[in-house]
Formats: sequence, structure tokens, C-alpha cells
Amino acid sequence: MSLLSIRNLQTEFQSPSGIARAVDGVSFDVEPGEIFGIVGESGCGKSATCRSILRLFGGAPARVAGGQVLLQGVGDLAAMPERELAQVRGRDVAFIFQDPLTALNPTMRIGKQIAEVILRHRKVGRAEAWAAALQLLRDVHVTSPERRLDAYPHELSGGLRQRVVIAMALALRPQLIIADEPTTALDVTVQDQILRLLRERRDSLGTSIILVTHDLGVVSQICDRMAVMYAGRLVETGRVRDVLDAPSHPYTKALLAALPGQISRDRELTPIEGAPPSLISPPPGCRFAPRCAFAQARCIDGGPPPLLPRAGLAPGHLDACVLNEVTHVAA
Amino acid sequence: MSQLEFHKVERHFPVKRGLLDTLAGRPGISLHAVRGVDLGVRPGEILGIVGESGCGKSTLARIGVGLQPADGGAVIFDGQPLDGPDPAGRLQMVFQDPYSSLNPRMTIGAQLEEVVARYQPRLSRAERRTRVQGILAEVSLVPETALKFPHALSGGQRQRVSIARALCPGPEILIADEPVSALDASVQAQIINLLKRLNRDKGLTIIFISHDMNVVRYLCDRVAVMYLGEIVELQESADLFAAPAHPYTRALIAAVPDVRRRQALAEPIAGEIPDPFAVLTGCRFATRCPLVEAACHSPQSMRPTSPTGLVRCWKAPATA
Amino acid sequence: MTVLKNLLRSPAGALGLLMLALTAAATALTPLLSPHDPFALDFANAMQSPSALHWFGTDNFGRDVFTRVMAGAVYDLRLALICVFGPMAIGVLIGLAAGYFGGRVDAALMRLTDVVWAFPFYVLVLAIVGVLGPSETNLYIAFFIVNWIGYARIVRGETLLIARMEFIEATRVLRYGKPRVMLRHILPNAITPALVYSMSDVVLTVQAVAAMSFFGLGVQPPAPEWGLLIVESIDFMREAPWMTIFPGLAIIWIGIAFSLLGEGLSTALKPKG
Repeated sequence: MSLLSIRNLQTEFQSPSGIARAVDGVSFDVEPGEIFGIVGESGCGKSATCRSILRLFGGAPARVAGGQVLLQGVGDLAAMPERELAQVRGRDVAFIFQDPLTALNPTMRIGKQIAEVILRHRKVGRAEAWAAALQLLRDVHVTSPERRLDAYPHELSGGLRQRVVIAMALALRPQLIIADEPTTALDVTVQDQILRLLRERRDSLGTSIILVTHDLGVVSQICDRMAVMYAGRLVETGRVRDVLDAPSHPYTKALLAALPGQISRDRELTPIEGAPPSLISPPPGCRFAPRCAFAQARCIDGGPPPLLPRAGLAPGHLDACVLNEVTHVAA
Repeated sequence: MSQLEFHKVERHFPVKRGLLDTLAGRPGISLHAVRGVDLGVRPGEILGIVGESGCGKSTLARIGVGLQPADGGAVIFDGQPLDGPDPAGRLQMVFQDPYSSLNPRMTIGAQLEEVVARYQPRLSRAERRTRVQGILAEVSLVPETALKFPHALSGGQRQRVSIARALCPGPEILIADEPVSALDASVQAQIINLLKRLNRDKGLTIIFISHDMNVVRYLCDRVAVMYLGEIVELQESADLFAAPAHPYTRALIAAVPDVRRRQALAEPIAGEIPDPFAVLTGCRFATRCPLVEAACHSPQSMRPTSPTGLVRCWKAPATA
Repeated sequence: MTVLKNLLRSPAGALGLLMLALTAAATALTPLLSPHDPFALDFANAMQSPSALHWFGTDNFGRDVFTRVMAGAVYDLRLALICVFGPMAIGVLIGLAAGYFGGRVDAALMRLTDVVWAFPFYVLVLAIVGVLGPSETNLYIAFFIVNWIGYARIVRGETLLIARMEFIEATRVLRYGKPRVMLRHILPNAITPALVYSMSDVVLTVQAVAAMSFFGLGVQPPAPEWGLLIVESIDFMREAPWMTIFPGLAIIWIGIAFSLLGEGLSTALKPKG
């Protein structure tokens, strides 16, 4: 039984030019104790997807328009009234934002912010909450934790702040942490440390993590399974090594081919021409078809191409390209 | 082709002192953003400058193009010390943020024609237009782009316009400060290809500032690694990535995630960039270096490490 | 221009423009619509209530109120526009200079702003007009001395932000002259909030001018300025309320029109993206 099951999630954003379907029928599962990566370029809907899980839109004119978000032992988060969902946030599912500077209250000391998370959800005394905060800072390997408890966020470096944010996320031992581009704003050496920290915490506590990023390297580094997202839909899912070593959807292949990491210096890079489609009036059928080198007529006929197991792919490796032959698997 | 050289370039930013500090007689502190940089740019090369936050690469870029002065040492361009941006427009710059690097209220054509009018004042209106069209074509933008405003263009297109603007005066050296960092990977490739083509076909010298080791490895001929204001290693790109000589370079390369494999097993370097205000003698990486010894705390200088490479570490393999 | 198009697309902007257009049309067509002379005295027909002959009635001197209100429109609008856009030009230039040059120039200009700002607006205007004597010209002088501060502050703030943007850095690499950078690159981007503010400033200025008339320090009779019309009608409010109501409505009408226009401008001037 999966920890989190997302079924046909749809999220809409109001914009002056119309309603944008940022998430258009997304389904995937996250297992207990696994690190699941969602990767895609800007505007693909990966951030909207993970915010939809907790309906954390930060005041933006967005709403979950359909689908289910089933959390084991709790219920359907998408249908839950706001008051109940507020209890789930932090306690069962925690969220880590991209910019640690704005995720922390600049006028409150670190220790107080962490303790506040604990005090809000658990009936413990202040001394106990403070001691728990200290231990959490130790768990995330913050040096001189006693001193840091009294510090303000702006006194800490970016990496330290992100550790504090992770400590706060772990404060109530949630089953699931959603991390939205947690290392994008950090130096690469600090990113390395933070990603290791996340993996280490998962190893100790068994917490599942959904990691949203644009960086395929980050996914390769710590994720177990992954999903590739384009224009509001998933185009490929599977174990990380299967997807990255043997990509099967044309978009995934194009994305990997555009990276300069492995290309020899005397060859040109292969960018993806064109731009992602509008989410207000998207093209019919497969949304990548207008930019796809392999597109044919049947790519734009019919509705959204489903994620299905294809011939030659490892178990659990699915893609949404109608040109790939489907493996007939018993339902 | 004019030479560009940095000779012991220094740049400090004095920090404003509060009244209490003045009364207490505390000495003024400065942020040493760039310390003693010696660097010669070879004509026709693509030189990469990499480093993490606080290393001074952006400041060095601005000193190199003449936007900021050197507080110590000098930048020599075409045999003369640089005193502001080159009046002939031979030194140009491309910036990082596609959203603030173009005037939102002027059409692309107007912005580009303005540059051409400034550097080739004898051209007629029609000739200016033609030149602008020519430059747009060089950066692979359709002629209609001239009629558009920046908000109608994508991030990648805007960066092309920025490059076009820098090309209008007919520069010899282009300093690009993180030109692709704000773009998606699939779009980065377009701009990187463009820069490579400009370098190859027009002999444009490019100084490419970046924090992205993968891009630098692919694009650059030589690479300078900066840490806390100093260059710690300078090598041919292939040599640097095959056999990085400085411990910081090694840590930097090891930290870059590789799509082909899971995380390396080697332990990452501990800690973070230390307080840039701290006055340190000797190697500034010593506080985090796994190989640190007592001798590391005396001033370090660049030593040859390969036929063409230099490294600021007495423990690095040296050439005879 | 695209701005006009965007303006018309927003309901507020379209309505504001419509109201102003109607005002302009009514004012221009007044000679056709009404045969009366706004200054002609006609005691025989004094204090007539609104009728087919006198749409807004007549005042205590027998003058047709409709014609006077329409004539007043020209007066009040001229006053408001000069008292707003003149100081705006001054304030914008001062703000640009302060924000762009910084340092001592900024400090000096801001101290000047502080000095003028220290005096309450009406106190200063009253004092100046009181010293110089009440007349339309002196009203202009007073507003020019006092009313530029808000614009200077707004534009200085915007300039400080814009001067840090990369496209301004680019102009330095390209060695563009300072006047060109300030006027061609910074100003068009910095002026938007000032333009929107000017719309509400027009509303406030119309009211300020009317208030000046209350003190006898503004425009002098027999000018048909709306504030003056209201002042002159106070003694007759019970017998001839239309003398007060219609000029009052006119002030409200113009106020709403410019407020809507300001709202529409605010949306229309946003550079998308």
C-alpha cells in the first residue's frame, strides 16, 4: 500500500488571459521510505503539483479542480476541509520551500521558530520543546547548536538556514516531506551536503521525500524513483536509473541530450527548439508533439496520452508516448 | 586584437561604520572582494571563471569591462590601463538576468539601433536598420523581433538580444556574467552553441563567468577557479577536469551531480564559505581543506602545475 | 499607442475616459446648447429653479447656472492641469537627478524636499497667496512652489531601483551620456507611478482650488470657478439649492472621472513580464 497516491490531480490558476491548467491529470504513487523526484523545466507544473498536495498556494489564485490525494492513514487531502488539512500540514506532511531566507521569520530567533512547530502540534512543555529543538539541530548537523538556537535567520548562511528549515520539517516526524527546489539557491558544495543530509534523514527515520527540481543531476544523486513532467502532465516515470540510463519518452531523451555534462567539446549541443505550450489553450493530444522530432499525425489525435508500460522497458518504467509499443500487462 | 590583462587586481568595499564603532575607535573593515588577481586573457580563447558565492568572479568581471575600478593593481587593455569602459566599444558585457537586462519600454529594434547610432554615427537610418537586422540574424533571431518589446520574448530570446546588443559595437572581447544561469537546460544549450559559434567564426574572445562546472567544462578552453577573491587554479579545461590540482577544485568537481551515476562515495568538504571579512594570512581554503597543515597558513602564491597550468597550493603536484 | 488601447480595455479606464470625453464635449458644445452668457446679469430672472430655459436654474444675479458650471469646467480643469503637470515636471526632474546622481546631489535635493514638506500644504499655499495677493497667477506660483514634492519622492524611489538594473549597467558599458540614460532609459520606466499619482493629484487640486476660493484667496469673482460658485451660493442655499448642488456635482463628477482614469492607467501602464 503506497504512502501517497495521487490520482488524476488537476489544478487551475486564474490569470488575466484565462484559466491555466497547471496540473492536468497527474497520477503517481510514493512508497514509504522512498525519495521520489519530480523533474521538469520552468512552467511544467512540478511546483504546482507538489503545492497542490497540501493546497499551499501562498495566496495565488489557484485551486485543486479535481482528482484525489490519498495519504495513508489520513484520507483524501484534496477533499479535506481546510481546518483538517491545517492539522495535516507539519504533522503528517511537511513542506520545504526553495528560498530559506523567506521561509523563516526574520524577526524570530531560530530556536523559537523550531520550538513553535512542536508546541503547536504536541502537548509538551516549553523546556521539552526547546530540548527537542536542540536535538533537531544536532540531527541536521548544525555546528554549535546551542549558539544557533539564539541566532536570527539573517545571521546564518544559506546552507545553515536550509538545515534549520529541514529541522523544522522533521520536528513532528512526518511521514512525508515535500521539498520544492530545496537546493537551487545554494552553492553546489552546499547543495551536495544538503542532499546527503536529506538522504541520511530518510535512512534514519524512514521518511518519504518528494523532491521537485529542474536539475536531472540532483535527481540522479538521491532519488529512488522519478517522474518527468511537461506542460502539466507526466511523460515518463520509473526508477531513476531506468529513466536516466534508458530514457524512452522523446522529451526525456531531448532533455538529457541538451545537457553539456557528457558531450565532447568539439560537438554542438542539441537544444530543444521552440517553447512549452500555453497552459490556457494547450495543443490537443500530446503536448510535446509540436517540438518533437518524431511526431506523427496520431500524436495530436485523441486525448491525453496515458502513462503505460512499453515494450523493452524495465518493470515500473512507464512513458506517455503513443508511438511506443505498449506491453500487454495484466491489469 | 587587443590584449586584456589583470595585474594584481584588488577591490575592497569598505563597510560603513556606525556611530558606535567610530566612537569606540574600532578600525574600519573592508570586504576584500578581489585580492591580487593576475590573469592574462589570450586573444580568441574562451576563458572560464568559476567559483561559488563570494568568490569575487562577478566583481572581477565588472572590473575587467571597466564598470568598477581596481583599488589596487590594474587592468591593462591594449597596452593602456583601463579607466572605465572602452570608448571604442571593444570590451562588452552580457549579463545574467534576462528580465532586467533589457529596457522594458523600448522595442528591441530601438535599443539595438541606439547602440549602432552611438558607435557608427555616420550610418544613415536605413543603414542602421540593415546593420541591426544583420546582427539579429547572427544571433538567430527573426527580423520581426526588432518590432517587439522585451516582455513578448522568452528568456532565451532575451539573452540573444543581450548578446546582439553587445555585438553592435563590434567588440573584440565579450565578458559574459552567468549568461545562462537563469535559463532552462534546453534553452541554455542554444545560447552556449551561439557563444561557441561567435568565438569560432568571428574570433570573439569570451570570458565566461559561471558557477556551473558542466557548462564550463564543455565551453571553455581554459578555466580559472576562484575562492574568496583569489584565483586558486588556472588550467586548460581538459587538464583541470581530468586532474584538478587544488583541493578546492577537486571538492568543487566532486560536488557536481552527475546524471550518469548516483552520488560519489567520497565525503564532501565540511563547512561553508567562511566569513569573508575574516583577515586570514595564507591559504583561504585552509579552514576547510582536508590536507591542511601548519605551512598552509603562510601566504601562498601561484606555482606551475602542468606545462600551462598554475595552482595556489604548495602541496599540489608541481612540474619541474 | 498600446497604452491607450490597454486603458480602454480596463473598465475603470474606459469609464473615466468616457466621463472626461463627455465633459469636454459638453463644454465645447455649450455655446450651441445654451444661448446664455455666463457673465450676463439679469436680475429679473434671478433665483429661478431649473427649467427648460435654464437647465440648472439661475443664480442670485440671474446668471444661468448651467452655462456658468460649463464655463467653470474650463477654468477648473485648466487650473488643475497646470497646478499638477507643471509641478510634476519639476518634481520628476528633481527626483531623477536625486536618484541617479546620489551622493551630495541627492542629499541636497532631499533636504530641500524636507524643508518644503515640513510645512503643511494648505498653510504654505495660503501663506504664499496671502503674501502675493489672490489671483489666478499667484495660485499657480504657490502650487509650483509646493506641489512638486510628492513627484520628486516617487520618482526618486523608482530611479533608485531602476538604476540598479542590468540594462542601466549596460548603458554604462556602452558609455551612453548621462542625459540620455536619465531621460531615455530611466524616465519612461520611473514615471508610471508618478502618472498614476497625478490623476489623484488632479482631484485633490480641484478641491484645493475650490477651498482657496472659500478663503477668498483663489480665483476672484466673477470667474465661474466651481469653488467660487459654491462659496457665492452659501447664502442662498435654502431658497436656491441648485446654485450649490450643480457646481458640487461637477466637482464630484470630475473627481470620479480622474480617479477612474488613474485606476485604469495603473493597469494599462504595467509592462507585462
